[in-house]
Amino acid sequence: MSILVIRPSRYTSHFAYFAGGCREPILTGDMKPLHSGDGDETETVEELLHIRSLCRKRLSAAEPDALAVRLTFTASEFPKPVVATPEVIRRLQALVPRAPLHLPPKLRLIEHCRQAFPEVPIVLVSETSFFSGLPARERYYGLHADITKSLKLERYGFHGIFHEWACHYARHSIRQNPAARILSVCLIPQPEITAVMRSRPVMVTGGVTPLEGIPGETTCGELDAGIVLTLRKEMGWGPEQINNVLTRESGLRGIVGRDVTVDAIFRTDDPDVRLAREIIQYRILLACGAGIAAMGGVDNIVFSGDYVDVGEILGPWLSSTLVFKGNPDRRIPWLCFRESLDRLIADSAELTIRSHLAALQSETEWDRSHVASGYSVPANV
Amino acid sequence: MYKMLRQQSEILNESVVRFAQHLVRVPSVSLNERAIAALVEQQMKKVGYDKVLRDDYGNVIGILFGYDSDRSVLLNSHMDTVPPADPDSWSCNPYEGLIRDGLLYGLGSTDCKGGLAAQVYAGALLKRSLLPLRGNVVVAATVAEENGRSVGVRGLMQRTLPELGIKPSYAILGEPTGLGLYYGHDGWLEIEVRVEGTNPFQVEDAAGAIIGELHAGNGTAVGPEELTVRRPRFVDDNGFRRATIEMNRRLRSDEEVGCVLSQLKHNVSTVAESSGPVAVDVLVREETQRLYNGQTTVVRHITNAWQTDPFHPLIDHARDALAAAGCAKVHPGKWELGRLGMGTAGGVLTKEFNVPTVGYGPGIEEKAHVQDECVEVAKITEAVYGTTAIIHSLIGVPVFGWTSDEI
Repeated sequence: MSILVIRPSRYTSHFAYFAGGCREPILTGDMKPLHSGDGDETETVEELLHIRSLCRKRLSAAEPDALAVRLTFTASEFPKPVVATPEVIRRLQALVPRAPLHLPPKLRLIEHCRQAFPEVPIVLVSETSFFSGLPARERYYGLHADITKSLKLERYGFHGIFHEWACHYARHSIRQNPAARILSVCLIPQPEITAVMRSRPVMVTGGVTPLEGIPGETTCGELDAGIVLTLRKEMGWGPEQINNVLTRESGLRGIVGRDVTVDAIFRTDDPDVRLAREIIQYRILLACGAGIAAMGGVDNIVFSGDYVDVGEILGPWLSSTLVFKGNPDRRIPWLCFRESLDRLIADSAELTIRSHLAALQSETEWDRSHVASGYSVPANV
Repeated sequence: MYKMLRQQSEILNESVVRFAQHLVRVPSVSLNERAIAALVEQQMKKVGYDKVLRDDYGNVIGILFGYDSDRSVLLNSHMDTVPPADPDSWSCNPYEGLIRDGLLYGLGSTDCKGGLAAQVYAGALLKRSLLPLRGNVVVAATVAEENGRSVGVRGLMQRTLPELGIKPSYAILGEPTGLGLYYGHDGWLEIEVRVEGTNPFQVEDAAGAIIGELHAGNGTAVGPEELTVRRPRFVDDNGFRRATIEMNRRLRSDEEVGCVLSQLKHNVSTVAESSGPVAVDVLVREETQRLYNGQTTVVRHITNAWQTDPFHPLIDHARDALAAAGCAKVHPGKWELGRLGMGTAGGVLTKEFNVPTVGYGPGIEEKAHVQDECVEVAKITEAVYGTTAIIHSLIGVPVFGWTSDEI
């Protein structure tokens, strides 16, 4: 199945085209961000049409069987990837106030994809789907129930695609039983750790927003709420200023005083970054400890993400530091999962389309509303 | 968020300056705003406002609808200008829209077509940035501010917005503030003192005595620089001789119009008594005006003094947002209104409709109503960005925690 993956971000949209059976993309690139000119949004549709023609050139005039669009936040609305139907879009629109910066541009992009690829199903693959099943004890904060409910203050992870596939890989590669307890460490600009039992996350370092958790390259990570109030009082800052400082001027940038990546701090002896490295490393250790506590033990650790190679440094260290209870000589096995996010999104989309097709074929009555809703089943699937 | 807003704002820079130039090129002396209203309406439609309409007063209104309608921000700039005092004294054509050394020259450029362009484009920037809003943004380009004492804004608040089901929670004026946050000004009162009697000599004597008293500043409760008194006009009517003395008096924010008038009446009546039996009355000057769309309205020549509490959440939010957005240090303050007749719609909004109001515009007050009126082009574009940041802080869906680039 050939899948065109699109990963929209605020500044650009990355795309990768996977032909059936190929693990590597046969076409990759970046699209201009939405509204990069002073004209209307037809530029984006034209760009997608151009990508469509490139895809056809690369694959003997064949259209992609599906488009896969990465979404960064859908709360618990969709436990699995879904095909973008009008009903799904309506549910996404209702989520906009909970991810105000991320969902609106993605909804626009989906609309543009519909225009440029009217016959191709669009599969939405969300980073928070994996965390839909977080236990309530992990999901909720120690806040008044009314506040929690009215503001929907629930914890999520924001890198579920990496975690889900990395855990699947870990279980598969070491031939363990499905009940394996896995610590998944996603090494990205803001590292995220989740503890997974029986394919289900039970602990995650993320929060209501991506601000919580391990400090990132620019985000502060977990913080005493009193600090926020102190910033308000002592610095005289308003919420916008405090938010700016916590999300853009903190983390590695704040500690080191300049831009530095998670990858770089583990690969240099520069004394300027030593403290930053120690803080990140220590926070990762504590989060792993919390994950092990949540699972009552651990069977292996798996690293993934853009900076997966840092796992080669952290793996041995964590393995030797987090010793098995009652058996200090036994080390926790670890491994690195090196698939690209694009490939994982394509895999998720392919599984979704196949299960969708299977469901459709089992129906005696073909629901024609699906065609009317803007997608149809490709003939070559 | 601010990085993205800034990027999107910069993309619009050229367009907003071009629009400001177009506004300057369309003459729009008070009560003659038809052509500029058409231009504003067309531009609002072009940049994607959810709803654009022209009301019965000739105001042009563009609306961006939010998720809830319980809070709305009104952006208001007037479309009209004063007449050019002496076009020949200008170094350029006041309707050319010339940009020279980073300054846009033209009648109304600082007061307040630069602000109008910025407000229209603040809506455009919000639309492009895809930032979800909880409340509505209403951009109102209003008529008859300079000459009509905010007839347009009053109509907008009295009829147009209620009919649309919108009640502004806050208002931002695009009047010249040099990108400071202005929260009020003194007012002006245009008064007619009428002296009437059957004996023309007694009327003339009384008028003369009153003029002398007023020139001396006696009984007016303001200094001579805050008062102008014109020569009396005499009319004979049905055996009566009537003198009308027109005067303009500054009105401080702690003064009530009724009190000022009754105090003045008491004082001038006392002065007139010595001239014999004459009747004295003190009135606010009234005038019937015809708006560009044919509607007529009676205008009372009062520019209300007004002030929003400098610690009001509107000012706090606006100041915080501008600081967070990285705008140049913001100076809070008040308009000086050094010349007679200057004012803003803030008096109508705060005093008559109880809407907390602040001014944030690219022009500067000293350049208003003068020859070679001009506004800094860079301040127009900065006002687009700053206004958008303020609006978002007031009614935007909070983005706290979502603004890193790490997911």
